[in-house]
Amino acid sequence: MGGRQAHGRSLTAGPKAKTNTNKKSKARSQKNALDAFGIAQEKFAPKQKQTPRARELDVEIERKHGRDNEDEEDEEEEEEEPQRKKARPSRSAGDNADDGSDSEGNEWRLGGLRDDDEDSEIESDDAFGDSDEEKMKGYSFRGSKSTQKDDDSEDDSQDDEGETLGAEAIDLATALDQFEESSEEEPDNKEQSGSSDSDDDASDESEEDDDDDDDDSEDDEANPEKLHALQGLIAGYGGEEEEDKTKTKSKSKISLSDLGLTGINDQNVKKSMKLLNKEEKETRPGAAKKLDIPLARRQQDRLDRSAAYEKTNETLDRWNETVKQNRRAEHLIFPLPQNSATAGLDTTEIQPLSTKKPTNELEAAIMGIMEQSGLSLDKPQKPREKEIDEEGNELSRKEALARKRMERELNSRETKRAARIKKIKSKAYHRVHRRQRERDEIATKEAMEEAGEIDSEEEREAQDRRRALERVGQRHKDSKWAKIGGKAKRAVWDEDFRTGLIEMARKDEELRRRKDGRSGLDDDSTSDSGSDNGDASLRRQLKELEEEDEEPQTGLMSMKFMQKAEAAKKQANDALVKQIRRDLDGDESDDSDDDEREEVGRRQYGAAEGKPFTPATESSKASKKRRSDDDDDEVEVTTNSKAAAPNTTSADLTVSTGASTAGAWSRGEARRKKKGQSSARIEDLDLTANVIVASRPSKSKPKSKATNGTTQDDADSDASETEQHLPMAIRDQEMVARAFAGEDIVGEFEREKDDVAEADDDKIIDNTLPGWGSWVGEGVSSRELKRHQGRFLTKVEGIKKKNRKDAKLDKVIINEKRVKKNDRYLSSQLPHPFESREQYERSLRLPVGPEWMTKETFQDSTKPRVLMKQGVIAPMSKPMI
Amino acid sequence: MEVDTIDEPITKVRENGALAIERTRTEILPRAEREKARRMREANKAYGRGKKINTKTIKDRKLRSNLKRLEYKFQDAAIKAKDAEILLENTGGFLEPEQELERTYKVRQQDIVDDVAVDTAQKRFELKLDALGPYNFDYSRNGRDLILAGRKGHVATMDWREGKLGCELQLNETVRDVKWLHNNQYFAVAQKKYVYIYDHNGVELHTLKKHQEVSHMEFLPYHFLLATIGAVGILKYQDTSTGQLVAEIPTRLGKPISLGQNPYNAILHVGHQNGTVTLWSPNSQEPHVKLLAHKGPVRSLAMDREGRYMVSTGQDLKMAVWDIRMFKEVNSYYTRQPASSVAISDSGLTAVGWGTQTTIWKGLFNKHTAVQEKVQSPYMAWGGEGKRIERVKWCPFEDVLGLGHDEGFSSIIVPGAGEANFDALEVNPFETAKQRQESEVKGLLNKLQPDMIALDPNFIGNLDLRSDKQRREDRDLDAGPVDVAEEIRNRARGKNGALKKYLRKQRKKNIIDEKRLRVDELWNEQQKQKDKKQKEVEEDLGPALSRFSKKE
Repeated sequence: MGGRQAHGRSLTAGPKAKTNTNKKSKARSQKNALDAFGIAQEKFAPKQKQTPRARELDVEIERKHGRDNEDEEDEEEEEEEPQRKKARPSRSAGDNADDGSDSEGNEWRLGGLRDDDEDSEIESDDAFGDSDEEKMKGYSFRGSKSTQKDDDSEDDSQDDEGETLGAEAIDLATALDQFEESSEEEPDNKEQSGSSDSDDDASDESEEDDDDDDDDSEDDEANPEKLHALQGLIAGYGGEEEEDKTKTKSKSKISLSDLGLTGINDQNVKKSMKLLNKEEKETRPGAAKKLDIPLARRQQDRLDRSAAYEKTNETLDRWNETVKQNRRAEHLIFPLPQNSATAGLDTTEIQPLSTKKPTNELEAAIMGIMEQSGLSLDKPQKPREKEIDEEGNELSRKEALARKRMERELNSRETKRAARIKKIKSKAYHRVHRRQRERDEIATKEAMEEAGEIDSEEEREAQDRRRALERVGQRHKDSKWAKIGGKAKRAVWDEDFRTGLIEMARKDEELRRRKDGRSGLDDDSTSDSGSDNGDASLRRQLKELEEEDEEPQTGLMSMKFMQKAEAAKKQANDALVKQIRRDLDGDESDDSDDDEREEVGRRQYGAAEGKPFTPATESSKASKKRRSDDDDDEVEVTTNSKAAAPNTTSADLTVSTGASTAGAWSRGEARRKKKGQSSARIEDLDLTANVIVASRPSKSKPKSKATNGTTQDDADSDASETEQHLPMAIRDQEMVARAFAGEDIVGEFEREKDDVAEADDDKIIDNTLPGWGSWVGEGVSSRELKRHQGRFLTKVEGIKKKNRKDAKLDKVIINEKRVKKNDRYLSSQLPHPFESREQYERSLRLPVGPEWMTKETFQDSTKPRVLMKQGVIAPMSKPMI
Repeated sequence: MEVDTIDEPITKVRENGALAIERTRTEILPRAEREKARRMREANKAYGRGKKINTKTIKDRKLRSNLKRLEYKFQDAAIKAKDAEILLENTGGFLEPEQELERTYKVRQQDIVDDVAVDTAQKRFELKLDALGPYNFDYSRNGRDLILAGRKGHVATMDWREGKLGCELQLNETVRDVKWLHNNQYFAVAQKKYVYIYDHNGVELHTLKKHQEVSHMEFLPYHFLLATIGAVGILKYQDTSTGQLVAEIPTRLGKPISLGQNPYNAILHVGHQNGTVTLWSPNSQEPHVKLLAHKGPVRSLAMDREGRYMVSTGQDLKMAVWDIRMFKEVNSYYTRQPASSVAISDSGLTAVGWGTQTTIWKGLFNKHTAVQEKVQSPYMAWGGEGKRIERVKWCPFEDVLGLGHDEGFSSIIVPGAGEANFDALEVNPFETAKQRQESEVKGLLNKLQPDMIALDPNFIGNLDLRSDKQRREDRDLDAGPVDVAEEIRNRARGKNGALKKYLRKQRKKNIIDEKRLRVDELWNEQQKQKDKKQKEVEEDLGPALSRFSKKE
């Protein structure tokens, strides 16, 4: 490959060099050839050789390259073999492939000229072969010679260098280039039987040139002055310098005429000339005027590379997220699940069927069948109800909504009111109400009877009778059991049968009675009487309450202030009782206006409120409520009222004195009072509690008796034991306590606890050595001794009493000493990634082991990071994210 | 049925008049979400692993993601465990009264036997052994085998369900206690003086002479430790897999009255004469905790299997229920007589044997309630037939209570006592011989070290919270310097070459200290001996042949 300097030097320095380098280079190239041939053949030769045209050319032309003539082909080759590009770094920039009509000579010359202002990498040298030299002798000689001459002095030195380099050592870059160059070229060499020295020379030179090439290019880029000088030189050779200068100034391009090349006969040159002119004429801004001179191949490549690099980066960046995710993933499964057949299908849950979108044909078909058979999954849409107001007008949606809202509001207001009324209503009120309701009902019934809408009393009675008769007959007399028994005369010998018969007779009797006179066990009648009874009992209770008041008074109660308070209290209570009585009476007298009665009644309450004892009224209210609540349980009521009475007195007491009261249950209460003024309500509770406690023994006794009675057939132990395990059954606890009173176990324990706490507490140690800086022994006064005590004290940190774990626990001593043997299993420091103890210890909380977790969890937790399943592991086709 | 309602927001007016909304109405969640949340809550309650940590404040990204993943795993594990409950095919149930007046404690064994299936009814039986005195007994870990030990030396093992006798011994010696070891192949018997270990054929294998006059024994199955305590009140731990005596701890509280183990953390509870209960592990010479449970001797104690509660009975006619995590007395009950034996079943039923009777309590403690309520009446009762109860013990995985008394042994049916769903990986009541062998090997491989016993069994791996200063102080500075001679002797144990190698290595070091001097001395001695030997050999061979003597 011809370097730039090939023409710069070939004629003058070339021969000179020949003498020097020929042998060496020849030998080397031959060696290279031998060496590289194998490699080259493997790589390139077959291709080159197989092109018949190349062979032809090879034969035709003596020169080894034969490239100039087959420029186009070369271009093709270039495309085909990118490796060659590296071998000829400057070429593509040199021969302007776009022109298409490169002719060697012109190109070369133009390149030479043009390169002057741009670059010294004269790529057209590639095109300059031996044959060309012959053809274009004149030009080439002139141009190159002149440069040669001028450069001579420098070149010589360069040459020397070049030679020395060229012979043995070469640049690394060149070496790299060279390898491929030679591999390209050698086969040709071989064909030519390695004969022509010049060839070798050229190749050698080219190698050297490459060297210089680099230098030059750098130089040129760096040194515009030099470049200018060179321009001048070239111009001088070409023709008149001055003219050239001006022209370059005005036109900036040198035409052929400037160079005095008007009389050229060469076809090719003419052709290119024509093109050149054409280009110059073109003035349109957009269209290809004269294209800018392409960048140097290296630069271009660099740019290309950087662009390509960016592009590649961009495409690779798309994978970043995927790669990151995979790196962070806990488990990876290969072959990739996304490549599996079921990828993207949700296998977890079966979607519900919908008629709207059957997913497949089968579904659609089945849907169709179901529809036909009336089993459609679609619910038939309800016809929208239309809102109609009172007048029958259809309402718009908005109106309907407003209406509804209004209704709802009213409704809620009503319910609220109803709730309140319900709260207010007393039981008596309810009763009154019910009675009226019943009366109303009877009235309506009678009316209906008269109207003949329902059966009359007689008819119903007849029906009842018939039914009862039926029942009696079927159940017993006509039953199989009775018949068989009667036949076998079982009654004589069978006890069971006899009892059965008796039972039958009893039932019969009962039914008959029920049917005849409805007085006996009739339901309504009992309930009626019950209510009556209720009233009666209420009255009775009231009476009792009144009677109770006249009780003999104890010492305390006989005191005046007590009596006064009592009197006031009594008044209030009396008022209440009266009120209730009136209510009860009023029920009978006027049923019609219950609500009003209620109102009146409440007013009466207000009258009671006028008295200064509000707690009393409250309690009486409560008592009244209670009374009305359990109106059939008389005993309860009495006890309750009893409870209420002292309660109120106590309340009074708190108000007046705060002294202790008389009475069986007041003792505990009084104690309580001393602690602080407790409210009446709390006392109420306490009292009831007292009552319960007091009443319990009497209660429990019959209970235990009962259990005894029931469990007689059991081993009697059962009963006794049930008695045992009721906590109240133990009555000799005191005795037990006394039995163990001998040893002061608790006290001992406390002492021990204190000792332990003391031992673990902070300690102050006196490190003073007796006799160190003082006298010891007999005759030293105690004062002196004392003076020397406690001079060196050290404090040993322990566990303070309040920090002990058992500080707040009685009856417990917890050892605060560290268990040293357990230290082996503690971690001495926080392991690396964790930031706090909590995090670390948290990470240990989940045990790994099949015993402590479900199989699934266990398998999950022990799964390897990379899981390989059977199948072809294909690479990811696209980024996952 | 659940009804979708929106609660009124609970608001409270503060002092300054501000209206603080405590529960807002943000809970308007779809039903599925609420269901999920509920499920999560339940799972956490049953299988949760404690409080979550806040991962949001973690700065390190990797750690944060790791911990987040961990939290997720915890949650997932809990939910899956909850879901797996569906696989527990058996459900436990108790006797339930049909009406208020009915009492379950009035149900007699005969009633139950009449109503249960035949195979269950067979589990109710009596062994009349009135000659050889009150009987102690023990069930093996899987509840299949039973060992009976009469006070007067009668020992018998049996597969009680099959009614097959394993071996029967008359030891002609007082037998105080008996215990199965890790499976039904070995058992330990505390006899008059020593503890003996027998195999399933009744062949005496070992005499543990260090355990003298033992009155109580416990076996810790995961540590393979046999713990005994005797008349002198020294608690001893013997490793039954290696045979070593692991620890010997004097309680200094006299003769113990009772012994029990906490199955949760393998801590032993010893009840003493003075009403205290002490908690022991082999790692400390002092009790971990000492609590005053009774005013008189602690007759018996038992811990529930989750290690939350202890029931103890005392001579002071009391039965105390303790929370042994908080160390608070939860409740105390009165007994009519001092109860001689207490046992807690897997489902939390407590059997109390007192006098000639046994009472079974249900709900003495309930881990799900904050405050334990006092139970008014027992669940079941048995006895009153003049058989003085010696010991009560629940049969694992069965609704059966064993009762050892002075007339033999009784097995009664107590519905709801046993764990309904056993874990065959842990203890398998239906194991074959092969499985038994496998589980024995597995148990030995998974054996826990005695050092791992602590009040909190989860301490392993936790961070040592001592300060560096404290740690330095704790380092034993008083320990004597390492005895070089001892060390060398230890190193030299073994083959002849071992010492030589050791000395050679030591001599290569270029530190001259006491050890080195000692090593040199030894080395020279050896060399001298060697030379001497050489010389002897040479002399034997004579001047001409001495050159052929073998040089070492």
